[in-house]
Amino acid sequence: MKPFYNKALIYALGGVLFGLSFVIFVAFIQQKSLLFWIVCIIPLIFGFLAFTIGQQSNRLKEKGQHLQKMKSQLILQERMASIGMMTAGIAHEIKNPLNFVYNFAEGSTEIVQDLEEEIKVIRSSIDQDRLSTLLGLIEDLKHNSEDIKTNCDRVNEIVFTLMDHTRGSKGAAQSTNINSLLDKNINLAYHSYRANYASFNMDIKKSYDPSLPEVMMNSHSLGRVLINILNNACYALNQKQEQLGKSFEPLIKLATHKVDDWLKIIIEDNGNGIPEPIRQKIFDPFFTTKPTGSGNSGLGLSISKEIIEGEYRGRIEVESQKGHFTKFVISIPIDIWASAALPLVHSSREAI
Amino acid sequence: MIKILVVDDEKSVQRLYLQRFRKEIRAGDVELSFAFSGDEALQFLNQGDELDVTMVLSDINMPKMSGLELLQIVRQRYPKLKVLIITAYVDENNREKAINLGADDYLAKPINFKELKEKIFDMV
Repeated sequence: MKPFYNKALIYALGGVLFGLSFVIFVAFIQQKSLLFWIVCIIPLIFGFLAFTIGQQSNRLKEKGQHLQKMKSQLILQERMASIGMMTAGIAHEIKNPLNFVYNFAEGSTEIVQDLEEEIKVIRSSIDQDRLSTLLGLIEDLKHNSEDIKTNCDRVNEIVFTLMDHTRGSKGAAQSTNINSLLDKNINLAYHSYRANYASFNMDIKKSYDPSLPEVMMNSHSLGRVLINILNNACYALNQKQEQLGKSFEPLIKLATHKVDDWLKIIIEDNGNGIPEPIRQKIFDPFFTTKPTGSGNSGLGLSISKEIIEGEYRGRIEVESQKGHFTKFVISIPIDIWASAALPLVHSSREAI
Repeated sequence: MIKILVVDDEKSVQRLYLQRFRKEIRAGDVELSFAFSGDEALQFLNQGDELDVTMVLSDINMPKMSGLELLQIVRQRYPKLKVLIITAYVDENNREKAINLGADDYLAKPINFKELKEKIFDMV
């Protein structure tokens, strides 16, 4: 039962008793006997007691709920911290051997180049068939070490993404304006996309709710979620533009609303959309539709979901129509801000 | 000639550095020495003249003496010696710690040798 009903019940009881005492007062108004005073005062006292007890139990209940909320928040933070510690440890253990693999591969590339030089010097004294076999082998070696390096980059990227996620909750809560956070991240996403695809252009339509309260929160991880979704949107728009050419006008619509106690952030693009069977998988870790080896780990949306649900107690939903649009709706309960100001557990950072 | 002491508990480091600095070593620009623990590094530095070594490249995570502890001692004894910390720890915390303890720079693994060489030649 919500505390509101409980409180109302107690107030009603107090009110009834108070009214009763008033009626008795009127009834006995003419006969000022000792009995009159007793009968008149007893319900008053009971009414007052009921009122006080009701208020106290209400306060206790609120406190209990607050404690419960803090407890689950702490458990979550503890869990995140231990995951963070483990990831940091694993990352370190991976990066050390990776350092050797990567650099020995690069060293091999250099050695192969030197080998080529050496062979050039003596090429006239070698049988031509042998020479071409030799050069073929060297070519293979070159490709091998390049492939080893490329794949090391992929491993490194994944480790970096995981690390960044688990240390994401660092930093104190700051007064944050969601509208400007969204602004900052769309600029970041757009410009970093244009850096790679100079011909890419899009329109950005903003309808921000100016009445959104400034909230105390650690905006780092929400920023990560926004940049993930915005990057995907830019990717989808660029894909469609490459398909359709000038006739297509890429558009991103950004909106924020306050609906009851919920804050909603809506990001919609008019790209090719996500077909139904894929839509169910987009939040799965390591799921990606982007080409393998393109530097995409497939972790963006799964991490985003985890951040929104775990850290902000919110929801992240997707609507899409194939060929027309994709729309992400992030809903966050506003009362989380109070607890967002809790000191976060940072043992993950201390441990490394 | 830049004389560099590389401190890391992993033995393959020796082969890796010798390979990646092959050209510089051959050209006589760089001379490399290796120590596989903090103690070994201090012994090496104690042996001769302070100026024998221009720069120390040290890992952080090593058994017994960590790279940061080594850094502290080196800073006290040889204030002019350049120290570069190279580690697989990529968080800001360790970077800050190293810089506060007087490291001249900080590099993350996997090492980008091109960047490392630039840093080394900039420093001297």
